[in-house]
This record gives sequence, structure tokens and C-alpha cells, in this order.
Amino acid sequence: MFTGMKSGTATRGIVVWLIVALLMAACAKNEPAANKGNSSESPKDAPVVTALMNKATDFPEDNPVIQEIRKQSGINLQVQTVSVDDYEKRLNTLLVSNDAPDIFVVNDTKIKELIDNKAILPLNELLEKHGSNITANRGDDLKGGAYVDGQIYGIPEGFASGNSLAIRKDWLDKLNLPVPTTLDEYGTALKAFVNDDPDGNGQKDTIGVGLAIQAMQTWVHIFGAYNVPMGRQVMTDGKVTPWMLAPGYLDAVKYLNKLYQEGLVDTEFSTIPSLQSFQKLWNGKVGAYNFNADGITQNWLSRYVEQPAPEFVYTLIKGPDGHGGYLDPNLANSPKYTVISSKAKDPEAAMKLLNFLVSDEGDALTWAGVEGIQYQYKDGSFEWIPPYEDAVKLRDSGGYVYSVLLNKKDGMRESLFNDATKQGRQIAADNLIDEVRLFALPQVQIDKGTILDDMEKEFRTKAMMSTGDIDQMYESFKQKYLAEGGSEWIEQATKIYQEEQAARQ
Amino acid sequence: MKGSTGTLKRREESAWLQRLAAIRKDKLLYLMALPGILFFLVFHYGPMYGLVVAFKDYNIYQGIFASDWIGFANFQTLFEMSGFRRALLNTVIIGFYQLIFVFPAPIILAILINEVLHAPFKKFVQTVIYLPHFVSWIVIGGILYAILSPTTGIVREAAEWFGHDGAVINLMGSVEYFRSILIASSIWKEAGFGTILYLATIVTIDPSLYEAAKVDGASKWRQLWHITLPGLRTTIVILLIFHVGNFLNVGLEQVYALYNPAVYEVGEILDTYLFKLAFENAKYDLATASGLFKSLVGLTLVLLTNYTAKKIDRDSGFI
Repeated sequence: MFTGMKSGTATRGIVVWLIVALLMAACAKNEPAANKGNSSESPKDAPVVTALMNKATDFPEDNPVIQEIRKQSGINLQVQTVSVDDYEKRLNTLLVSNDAPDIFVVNDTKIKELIDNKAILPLNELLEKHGSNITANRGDDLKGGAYVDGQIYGIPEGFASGNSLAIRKDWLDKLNLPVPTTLDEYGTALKAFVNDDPDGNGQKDTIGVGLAIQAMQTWVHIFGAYNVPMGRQVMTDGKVTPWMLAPGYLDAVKYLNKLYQEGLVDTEFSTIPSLQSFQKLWNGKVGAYNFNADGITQNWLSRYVEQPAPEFVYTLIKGPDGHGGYLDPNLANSPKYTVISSKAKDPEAAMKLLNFLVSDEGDALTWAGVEGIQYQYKDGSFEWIPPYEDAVKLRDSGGYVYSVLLNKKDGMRESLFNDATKQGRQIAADNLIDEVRLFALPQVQIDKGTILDDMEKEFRTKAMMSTGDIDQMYESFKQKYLAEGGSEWIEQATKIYQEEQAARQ
Repeated sequence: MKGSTGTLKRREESAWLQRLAAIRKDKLLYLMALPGILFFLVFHYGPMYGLVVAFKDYNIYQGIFASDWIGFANFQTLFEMSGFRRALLNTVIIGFYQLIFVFPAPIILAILINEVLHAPFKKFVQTVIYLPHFVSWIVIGGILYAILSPTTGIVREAAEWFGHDGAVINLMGSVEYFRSILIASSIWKEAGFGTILYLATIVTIDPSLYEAAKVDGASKWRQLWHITLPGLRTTIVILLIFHVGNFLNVGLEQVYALYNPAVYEVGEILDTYLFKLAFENAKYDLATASGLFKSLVGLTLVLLTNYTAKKIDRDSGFI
């Protein structure tokens, strides 16, 4: 009897304990790990500013770089990091639960919604008081997509990707070909790349131009040759028209079809994941590749497997009317904006911190890290202190990672580019395709953008691989696209354009 | 009159008392069930109020309750989108293929494994075929790409080994083969794990039935037809009901990992279409409407299958 009682009490105890534990677990608030970080580096009375940012790799919450940022800015910055894939979800959760961090980065499709719902602050006064570096660095770019009714709501990301066509110079030399500048010359070069064994291994295993439906940048030069700004819009007959309905688009697709049928593009462009597409370039199998110059001739240098390393030259391919070009970097119309929450306890401190990030010191810290730890100047020239020449090691020690909060335009990053990269960025900057600048997005783009964009990708893919009547396919695609939201898009975009022109004159 | 009401009341009271007494008798058991019940109430029934989003013009800043009611407008919008209709059709076709090819696969596999006599080998096979279930679709997507890529894949190597010199077909990008790849990869990943329940059921079949059948001169096929399959019948029906309940859930993760613009025409399913709409464009109201629609279809199919199963065999089905 006694034993029975005892075990009964014990069981009851365990059950009660389990319930309490469960309730505790369910009710406990998920405290951001960053708050537990070491804040002893900043002065005791320093104002606290919280921020949410995405991260590509795991790095310690407490590191020399953030300590230095706190010390130099005099602001106790507490950063909550979340992986790139979960960023949007986490931000939405924080916004809905009224827990938004003081500083966060939003994409262009979300900014209007935040302004309409007064979730973020207008920055004019704050910029005037504490944002001198930002206004000096961004200038008119501040009056872009986050500029509504005379108020600046977000600071645009300030980096032009310098996306242009890189060609294997060593292969061209080997095959005695000039650097192509017209579609005809380009076709000749691609044919030689595929058929004349430029890598000299005796096998027909090289690809002309590396295209991948997942990597949008790879296509830009071909549409550019037909004056079509990929992913943007043009003016036709007084209406703002999306690029896939622009004159020239169909001709570009027909040209792509010809390249595909002649076997000059990567045959698996529709299925290949971006990384595998890059790998083909890194493995020395691709002759022409359109991508960010700071990738091809800068960050990827350690990835190329060939010995000696491949040589690239950037070029511009001109189309039938003698024009060609690349996408307007349009920094005012940034895909991302840094904003300050309307719930921020100390907006002035938040602005001071952002202003620090755009200063020379802040730029060096967020880009390269701490001088003497991650990098040094030797005889006036920059060099990494081993092992930080490795991008992953640098990120793991806090270098580079904080630049996603806010960077400096034409800062340390741009000044450290090598000559080849600078040439690529220059070609891209000097040859822009005409486009209509829209600062606000049409509502239908916000609601169904991915679906509309996917319709174009589907058409482009099918048309390229088709042996049938492309004109007819295009006609049917156009009808479907217009019915699914394209007509609304044109109507809304035209209206936005007219309003913006009237308001900004 | 008064007396009989009193008796009724007393009877009701005593029934209550009995129930209370039963609860008191097993109070620890009830207490132990409480966290489970709470879990279901809080995490499964509580969030269902969110279903009203399907009938609202949902704005995340206003919240669920303050958003405006718009009746069936979300459903109307969905069905007016040609992409949605195409996705629905693809989902039904792929769901149908899964029912015909994927559902029976574990049954056949379980019967085959059951016939393996060498015990260690049997255990080994069982373990090996469970493994793919634990690999995520994203990883399988990578593996399939490595196998099927026409330029760098194993298919190409194999084709060359057999002396094929020309281009190899891009299976992942071909409208003709894409659904077959979906079905085949589903079977490869899930058939092994699906055998667990069937094998457990086969073990419960009385061995004397097989002995008697052997004495009567029944061949292996006859034993399979008259003993093993009838023994599995209840399990098959229950799993079939589960399966049809998920008829329209043909696998977001799988299709998302494997498809591409070349095969949207045959591969875009409701889940992937809604994923683009809901998460990439934040249209939670439309996504909820579609989810509700799918659940209703699932529920109808479950009830129909259950009803049919009961008609054919009284012991089958749940309800």
C-alpha cells in the first residue's frame, strides 16, 4: 500500500512536471540570440539599436568587426541574423507581432506596403540631421522607389553589379578570331568554341555560350543586342510595355532558337541549376558567359581549375541596327532598401548608425574587416592577412557580412577591383539600353509577379527548343499573358509612369 | 408526469456520476492524455480560425479579424487564372498516376520481401529500402540532375559506353518524360518505407493457413491470391483512404525540386503554383482559399472511398 502511494505520487509529480514544462516551452518568448551577445565593448550608456539581417554563412554573433562597429559608432548595435531563405518569413513574423527591429532591409515589392501601413519612418529629417554621409554618397538615388510624396522612406542598396559578357580571350587567340562585336562575329566565335576544340583535349565537349534559365544575367547581352532591356519595360505607342512585349523581343528569341538548334548554347539551359552552370565555366568548358564582372574576373578567380588560368575579355555585342547594351543599373530603383521601423525607440541613433556604415571607416569595417586583423596596407597597397584572403574565412570572422545592412556606393569594394573587372563594369556602365524608369511597381506585379515572369520563362524555353512556328507560339503566349494580368500590368504601369512624371517634374 | 421527469433526471444524473466515477478511477490516464489533447486544441484546432482568411481581403498589418470580408471572391479569382486551371488539371493527372503506380508499389514490394527466406538478407534489404525516405527532395533533385544531365550526367556516360555518339535527351526538361520521372522518383523514395505496415500485417497472418493450402496443393500464386492479399485487405483499404485524402497533395517539395520552365506545362501543380503566389508574392488569402478547396476535395474523396469500402466489405474503413 505504502509503495503504491509512493509510486502514485511520483507519477503524478512527473505528469505535473511534464505539463508545466510543456506550457513553459509553449509560452516562452523566443529571445533573439543576439541579445545575449557580448555588449561590453560599447559604452554602458550607448543607445541600443536592433537590426535584422540575412546571412549566407554562419558566423559568430560576437566578433571583432561588430565590436569595432560599436566602439567607433558609439552605438550598441544588436544584430539578429537569419539565413537568406528564412529572412522574409522572419521579417513578416516580427512585423505582425509588433516586434520589428529598428533597422531592416526590405525588397522593392514590399516597400509600398510598409509605407501604406506606416510600418516604417519617413527619413527626410533624420537624414538632414544625422545622415550627411548617406546624402552625400547616394545623392539623387534617394529619390527612387522608396520616395513617396516628397518623403524618403528607404535607402537604396548602392552597388551596380556590372553585368556584361565575358569571352575566353585565350580561346579566341588560339582560334585566331577577333573579339566579337556583332551578332555574326559572335555566332562565328561560338561555332569555333564548340567545334574546333579550344581546350585542346581532343573531345567535342565545349559549350559556346553558357545560358541558364535560373541565372537571369546570362541572357542580358542577347536581348540587349535587340534593344530589349531584360526584366524592365519600354515605351511603345505611348504605353509602358513589359520587356517580353517590346519590339525586338521576338527577334531575340528567334536568334536564341537558332543558337540552340545549331548546338551553340548549353543544351540543358532549362534544367541546369545556377551553381552547376557556373561550374561549367569554372571547369573550362564554356567560351562565353554573361554575368556580374565581380564574379567572373574577381571572386571566382580561385575557382578556375585550368592551368594556366583562363583569360577573359568583356565585350559588347551589337545587333542588326548597330546597337547593343546592358541593363541600366538604375541604383535609385534598387531591388532592396534599408529602412527604419516606426516602432524604433531611438530613430536618431538608428540613423547615426546607418550614417556610420556609409562613412569611410564604416565601409572598410563592413567590407574588409578590421585593419591589422583581417587586412593591412603594405607599401600603400591593400593586402589580406592570411587566412582572410579566403572569402569564407573572412565571413566567419565578421568581415563582409555587415555590408548587407547598408553599404557605401563606390566604396572600398569597387576600389579594390582588378583591371579586367573594371573593364567589364565600364563596358556595362557605358552602354545602356533605353528603358522606361518606373519607381513604383504595378500592383499586379506585386500580386502575381512570379507567375507572370514564369510565363515568359516558359515561352522562351519552349520557343528556343521548338522546331515549329515561333510566331504562332508567341502570339498565343501574348494572348495568355495579357489575359492573366499583362493587360492590367500595362495599364497600371502607364498610369504610374504618367503620375510619376507629373510629380517629379 | 412529475415523477417520470424526476426519474429521467435522476437517470441522467446517475449517468453523469458514472462517467465522473470512470474519469476519477482513471484520472492519471486522463491527466496523461491532457497534454496531447491540449496540443491538438492549441496547435491543430486553434489555428483553424485562420481559415477565414480564405473569405477575406487579407492584410497582414490589419490582422485576420480586421481584414475585410469578400465572400467567395478569392475562389473566383483563383478559378479565373488560366495557370491555376492548368495546375489543377496537372495535379489531378499526377494524383491519378500516383494512385495507380505509386500506391500499389509498397504492397508488391512487401509481398516480395516476405518471400525472401534468408533472414539476414531480408533484414538487410528492409533497412536499405527504408533509407531513401529520409533523404530530402532537394538532395534527390541534385542526385537526379547528376544522373540525368545530358552533358555531365551518368546517362551520357552510359550512352557513350554503349557507343551512342549524338546528343542525349534531356529527360528532366522533356514534356514527355517529366511525369514519369516524378512517379519513378516517388516510388524509389517512398515505396520501401511504405512496406512497414504491410510487412507487419503479413506477419499476423496465421501460418497454418499457408500449411493447409500447401496440403491442398495450392501453388505460390494461389496462396498469394487467397491468403496473403485477403489478409492485407483491411490495411490496404485504410491506407488507400489515407492516400486519396491526399489526392491533391502530390508533393510540393518534390515538384519544386525537379521541375523547370521547359516542363511547367505538364509539371506545374497546385502546390507549386500557390507557393509562387503565396510566399513569393505574399497572397495568403488566395493560398488559403486554394488550401481549403484542396482539403474539401480530399475530405469528399475520403468519405466516398470509405463509403465504397464499407459497401464492399463491412469490416473495412474507419467511420
